[in-house]
Amino acid sequence: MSEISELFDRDPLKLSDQDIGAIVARMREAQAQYELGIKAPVAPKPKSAKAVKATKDLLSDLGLGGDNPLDELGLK
Amino acid sequence: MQKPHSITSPQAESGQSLALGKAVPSPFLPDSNIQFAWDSTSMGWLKECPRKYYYHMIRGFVGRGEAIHLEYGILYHNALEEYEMLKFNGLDHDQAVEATVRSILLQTWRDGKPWRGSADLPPDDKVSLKNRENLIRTIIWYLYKFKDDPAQTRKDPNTGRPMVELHFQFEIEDGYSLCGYLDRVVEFQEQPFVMDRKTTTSTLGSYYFDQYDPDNQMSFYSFASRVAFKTPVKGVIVDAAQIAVGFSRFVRSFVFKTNDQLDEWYRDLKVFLKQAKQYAWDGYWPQNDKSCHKYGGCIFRGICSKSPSVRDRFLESDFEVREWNPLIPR
Repeated sequence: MSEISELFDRDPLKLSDQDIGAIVARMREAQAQYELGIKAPVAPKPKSAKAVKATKDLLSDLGLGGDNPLDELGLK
Repeated sequence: MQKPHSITSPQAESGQSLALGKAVPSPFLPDSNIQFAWDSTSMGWLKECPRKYYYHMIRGFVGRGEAIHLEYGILYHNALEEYEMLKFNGLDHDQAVEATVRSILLQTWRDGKPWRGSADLPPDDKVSLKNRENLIRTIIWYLYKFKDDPAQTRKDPNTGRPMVELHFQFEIEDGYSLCGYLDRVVEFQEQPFVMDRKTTTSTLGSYYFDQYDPDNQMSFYSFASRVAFKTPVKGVIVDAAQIAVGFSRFVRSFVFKTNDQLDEWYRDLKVFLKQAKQYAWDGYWPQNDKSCHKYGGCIFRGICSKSPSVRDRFLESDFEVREWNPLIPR
């Protein structure tokens, strides 16, 4: 992380396109590691079966189709 | 999303205040504490506790930790709006991300050094997670996670521009107006929703999302979308970003609003507006001492727990004065 810290401490007007690209690349690398589970988040408590059914019924009433539209948005 | 404070002390006698060098109208009627222009933030304070409303809105007191949340939120929203506009103007995803990162680095370079909003706070304060590096990480992670977002930004039918950071102000009854900003209006599964972006250091579980349903802000924005933009949304998608040590995490949740619910909210709003006027006439905003300990505790809890005769002295030493004016544009 030392390279990226050095870039963050530099006047942004003096950063080249390559420097910005390096910041993005380093952050993307950290994101990929995180998504691979190297640092897993605390999962939210699962909803009760009753709550899940109520949510599905409400979605259906609102005309939001699909088997589980919540999945598509990455919702809880 | 909340709006910025002005940079001055509470409203001047003339009914005008100064913000960023430009005169803007006061949200209060001249020579009174009767507020006629309301945003979701000021209405939320009133509903939570009239005394909290008085300290924040009438006196203009703000806690130091609050200022960091506000600034962080503004920077985060600015970045996502900028990305959206860059894409609209023809840049591809990677180009738009890099241009957005450069812009935020510039916006967070203050007086020749990196912005350190939480420099005065203890290092174990979770607010310190809202720092510059984590902001950039959160923006980049968000933009890549939602590169192919199933919630698509709606285009304004008149201008064709993306419906992001939409200012609204419209009159309701008795000379009152409602104002604020919608972060984004989206189409999800061919249904319109307001999308409201949040940043938090809290864990994104059901406890976090439960606070938004029911919630004044969610109803306010759904109502505003219906009236100001003629877009009767199904509700609000809360698009939350958790800022943690070493990672940022994103979870979305729906808050649905039916027309009946919005009508009820509006009816209740009018009751609260009447109450606010009465408090202003009386020059007295009572404590709601059942709200003091909600959501980790009101920021004024330490003030209200002291004897009335010494409160002002503590307010002046522990808080800064930054007027909250719903009429100040971002």
